[in-house]
Amino acid sequence: MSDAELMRKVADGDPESGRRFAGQFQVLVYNVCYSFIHNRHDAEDVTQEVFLEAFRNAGRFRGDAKISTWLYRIAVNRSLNFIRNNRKRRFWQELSAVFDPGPSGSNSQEFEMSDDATDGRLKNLEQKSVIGKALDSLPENQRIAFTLNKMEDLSYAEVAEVMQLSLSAVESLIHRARLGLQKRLKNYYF
Amino acid sequence: MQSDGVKTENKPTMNCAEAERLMIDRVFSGSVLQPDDELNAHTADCAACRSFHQKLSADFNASFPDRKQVPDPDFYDRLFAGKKSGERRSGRKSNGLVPLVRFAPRLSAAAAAVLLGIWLGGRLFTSFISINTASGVSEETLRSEYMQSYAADLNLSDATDLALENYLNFNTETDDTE
Repeated sequence: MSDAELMRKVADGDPESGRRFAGQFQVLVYNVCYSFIHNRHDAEDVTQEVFLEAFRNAGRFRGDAKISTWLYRIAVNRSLNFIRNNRKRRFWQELSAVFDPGPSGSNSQEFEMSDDATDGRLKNLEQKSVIGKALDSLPENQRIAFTLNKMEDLSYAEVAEVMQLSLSAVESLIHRARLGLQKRLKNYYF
Repeated sequence: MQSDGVKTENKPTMNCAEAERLMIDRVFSGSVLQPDDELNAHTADCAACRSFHQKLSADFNASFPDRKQVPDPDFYDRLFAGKKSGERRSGRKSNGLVPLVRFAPRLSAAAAAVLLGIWLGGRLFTSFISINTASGVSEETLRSEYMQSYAADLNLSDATDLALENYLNFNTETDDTE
């Protein structure tokens, strides 16, 4: 079954095709999300969001690119959005702590993200490894190109397709990302 | 000691900067790349690069311990079981007004407290100034009263005082004429 055919059946609501699609690509999507977010629980949540978006928009898949390229693009965007929203969430949580430092402040039902699990997640993000910090400090485009090429094993051409850039631009981004990482890691390690 | 861009005698084919970039490539790529003899030879000779590689590898393995290799068989079922609640949650999260609404009473309470503080402070300051001014006037009055009562105590209009004054005046006049 071709990619376009599979996605057409997914769009038609065929559960077997949906199951096959999810089974085939969930590891790929999860690992991309995990590479950006560095946290298993959050990466699983974002993976679900990616698939929900993919199922919703399955009818729009034209078959010009591979399904994996399309999914990589959604996964990268969703992960980066998650990171941005997480920063905002942290801001509001810190503000909440300023106004309401006591334990009674966390019993608000309407703001689910202020529970213990979220605190743990935020703590995890704060205690990120040296590599995590070094990766996060790279400019976004460099980080995407480097992560997809090195960690997800995509070729330069595939990265170029996902990022909708030229091959030379991707080469340059990866080269600069490598230099940036080298500089940052040397600062941390030596 | 690391050498950046300079090929040393012990490392004829690769310098430390090149070695570090290669190590970054290899560590981030996992076990996909073929072994590199040149890099291995360099790290065997260079203690700094060996240390860099060890730290990098250990840190990488510790940073990404939860990468998956095998798909979760229940993923599809969970995806659609949690779809409704997920949509509800994401709908609520996407509403940017929620935090504002949540903090509105506290923010307005804080603003009211600040305004009240400013108003009370202003009032206190004004009354403090007026008390000071009023106390300044009463001190003046008191001083003149004290002077008068002091003068009264001295009894300058007594006959002895007048005699004494006359005597002093007389003496000074005679001194002047002399």
